[in-house]
Amino acid sequence: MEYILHVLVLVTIYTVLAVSLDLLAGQTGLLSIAHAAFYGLGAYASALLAVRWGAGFLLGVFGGMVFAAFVSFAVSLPSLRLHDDYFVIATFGFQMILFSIFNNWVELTRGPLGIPGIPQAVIFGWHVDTHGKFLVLSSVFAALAYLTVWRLATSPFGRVLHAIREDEVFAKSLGKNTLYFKVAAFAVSAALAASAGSLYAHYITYIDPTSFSVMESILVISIVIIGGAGSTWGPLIGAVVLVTLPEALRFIGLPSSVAANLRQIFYGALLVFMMMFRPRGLVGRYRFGR
Amino acid sequence: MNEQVAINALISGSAVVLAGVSFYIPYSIARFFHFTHGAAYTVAAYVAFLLAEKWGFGLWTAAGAAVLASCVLGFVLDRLLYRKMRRRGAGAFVMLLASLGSYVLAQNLLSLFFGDAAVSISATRQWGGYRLLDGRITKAQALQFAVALAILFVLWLTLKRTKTGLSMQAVGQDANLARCVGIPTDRIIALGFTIGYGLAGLAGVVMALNVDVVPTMGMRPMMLGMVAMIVGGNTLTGTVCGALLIGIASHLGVVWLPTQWQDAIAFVILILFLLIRPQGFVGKPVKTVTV
Repeated sequence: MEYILHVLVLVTIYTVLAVSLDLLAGQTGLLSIAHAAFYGLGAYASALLAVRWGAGFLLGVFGGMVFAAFVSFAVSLPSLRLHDDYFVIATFGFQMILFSIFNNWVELTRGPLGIPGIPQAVIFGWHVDTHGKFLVLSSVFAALAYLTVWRLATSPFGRVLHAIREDEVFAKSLGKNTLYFKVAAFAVSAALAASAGSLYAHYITYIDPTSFSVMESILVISIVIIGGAGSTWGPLIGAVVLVTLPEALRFIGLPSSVAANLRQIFYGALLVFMMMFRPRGLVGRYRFGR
Repeated sequence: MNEQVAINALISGSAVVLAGVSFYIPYSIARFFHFTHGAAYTVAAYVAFLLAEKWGFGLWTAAGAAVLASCVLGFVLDRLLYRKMRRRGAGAFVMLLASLGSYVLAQNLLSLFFGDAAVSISATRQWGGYRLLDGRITKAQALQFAVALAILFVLWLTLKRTKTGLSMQAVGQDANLARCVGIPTDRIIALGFTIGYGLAGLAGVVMALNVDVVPTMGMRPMMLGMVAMIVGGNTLTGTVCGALLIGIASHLGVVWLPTQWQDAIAFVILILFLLIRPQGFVGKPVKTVTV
């Protein structure tokens, strides 16, 4: 039972990540490989706030989100000078730089040793100390992230994002300041990813840089694209499929190192397969790279 | 001391030149970011390790087989994956994602078969080195430098002086038009992948002689090669200049910063170029907006 709850918590955390990336990739057509970096920024910000200064969970989440949003300006402004695949490569570069900081700024992040002993979340006296309680908390976060993205996507703001995705020059010709919209979408997406990071840090109570590497970014991208970018249910379905299916490998009784490789092989093969036969994903409408 | 730093910077520059050029050739023809380039390094390094260490072949046989293996990898990837996707009208974006997926696939297959632990090729341990000015250079490093120079010369002749080279440029500029004038585009692209991945494999073997072999080893040179190509500005000359800049700068940076920041330096250079001079060294626009 505890194990099932644990998997469900992971599904909700990845739902937050996938939904926030979908705002950028699916709604705006900007595929960022830096998502794991923002996830990590949230995790490190709230972990350090909690461990060094004894800040509470909500303050940590808030701090992480604001911090990630500010860092996102430094990432999005240079990257957005580029288009399509060059934009992807620029965000890739930022992912590598931020990972390098997590991994090498030992004085602050303790580098590869990671930060242990992050306290469990306490919200107004409610101590989130079991998997079940945490599932409630992370489900609330997933629902909030979902509502935020849905609300944005169906608002006039979201319609401009869709216009940018379909034809940016046309959106400009209507007098829209497309750079502003893209930077804003990037900041919201980064802040939501950071909230997932805070959840993760307070759930596992230990973080190290390997959780926020480029492979993690690729996993989140796979979730969004395999589920279906730019659709209401796509990221949720993607998170359920890509987080739960590899868990089945555990029951065959494989050693954990082999299972980890097989899991990655599964993600990789599924991504290749979908790109080849169904680039719009399981339930998506928007097809990348038309 | 200073001579040693200069020598090491040049060696590191020549490694990035190999990476950059081998990334550039398939890119310049097929026009998408092919992350599988990283797998060519790793495959070649493991084939060389398998033959030289496990099966007791000579080092040169092993190196030849390894290069051949990565040529085959490039050819097979293009035939089984990229060509099919091209025919389905996949854009550069979808191709990038598919290659990302195949890279993850390849890396984990290798680590499934060979394990995550580092292995190394011991034949070069007794090789020793040379004295050069006031510094030292190992034989494997000297080999790498010579190989990089020789390859550059041959490539430059091929790309600029032969019909095949011109066809490659034509396909890269406009594949449809190239087909109209009778260039077998699919064959040219397959050739580009074969040559590019073979060169990456060669670089991978040379790398395996210098450092440990691990399943993730291809990621770093692939990234540096990609950065070199963008910084240089998408031509052969530009890529070489970019590679030298990246290799030398990230090495000289070590004089002031701890070694582990090397990769970050390369990416900071990338971001600076994207900000200040997105078209790279050579100055042709990297990407134009079409209306």
